[in-house]
Amino acid sequence: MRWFLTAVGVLFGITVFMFLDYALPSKQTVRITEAFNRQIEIGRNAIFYAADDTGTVQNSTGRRDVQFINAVRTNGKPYVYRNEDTGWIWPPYFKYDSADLQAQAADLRSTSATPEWVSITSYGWRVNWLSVYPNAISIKPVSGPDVRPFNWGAIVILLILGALLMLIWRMWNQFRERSLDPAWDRIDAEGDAARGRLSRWWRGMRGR
Amino acid sequence: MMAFMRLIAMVIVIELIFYVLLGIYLRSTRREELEKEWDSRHPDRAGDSPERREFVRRSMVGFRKSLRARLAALVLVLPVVAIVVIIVLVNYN
Repeated sequence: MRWFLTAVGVLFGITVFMFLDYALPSKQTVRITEAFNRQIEIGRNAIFYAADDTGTVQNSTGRRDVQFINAVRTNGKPYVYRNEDTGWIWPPYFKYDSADLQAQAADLRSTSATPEWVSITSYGWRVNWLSVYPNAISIKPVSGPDVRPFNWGAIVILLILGALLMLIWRMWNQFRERSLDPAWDRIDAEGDAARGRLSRWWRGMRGR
Repeated sequence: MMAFMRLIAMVIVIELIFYVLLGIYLRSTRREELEKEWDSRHPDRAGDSPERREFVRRSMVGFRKSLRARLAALVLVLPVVAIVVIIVLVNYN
């Protein structure tokens, strides 16, 4: 039983970590090479794309027109962002300026001969074999490839989540200390009393 | 528009649940404080008793109007403020 609980706990921890890693904003310094849109098939990887009712247009065969931002990382490897509105739903970025962001990305395109570095804030993962792309949130020009702005957003969200967890923990402890434990003690005491009666009755039956 | 309405409804429901739970928690901590105060004032009559319960009940009368109970209403405001801040940071920055 103990190993089972340990395994469940470890799995839960990994799930929470992956969830936060996916949903929290992250920053990366890249160079934008292209900003374009193309139709893509959205099938079983739909969970990694915007919900249907966020202003996306999907045709009858299930293809959706999605804006993409091609980029090159500081180590020279390619990286591709999608640029979709999140709307009023999950994840709660409330982004609805994807058209403006696309215009800004197109404006900041550069070649390897005359690179122009930007810091892109995004959430999500790049998973090649599932055709999953992180969603770009904002673009800020930076002076060079070595500039890595501090990710304040994620830290602030984590601190708030931690404080909230602490509060819920204290509320639960207060509830257990003042409501659950006394109730449990009462049930226990009643059980003891009933057992006392039962054994007295039994002794009486046996004539002692 | 439907999505926006759904967001508003969801935020209100979650806020109200948390507001009620927080109210219960704050009242419980205040009651515990009062019980401890009674015990320290009357060391000879410490522990649960009808007098102590009466003392706690009467001391809790004005709790709704205390600063602490009113600050709990911030859980109805702060999430909305956070959402507005996120909207401004993401879209107008």
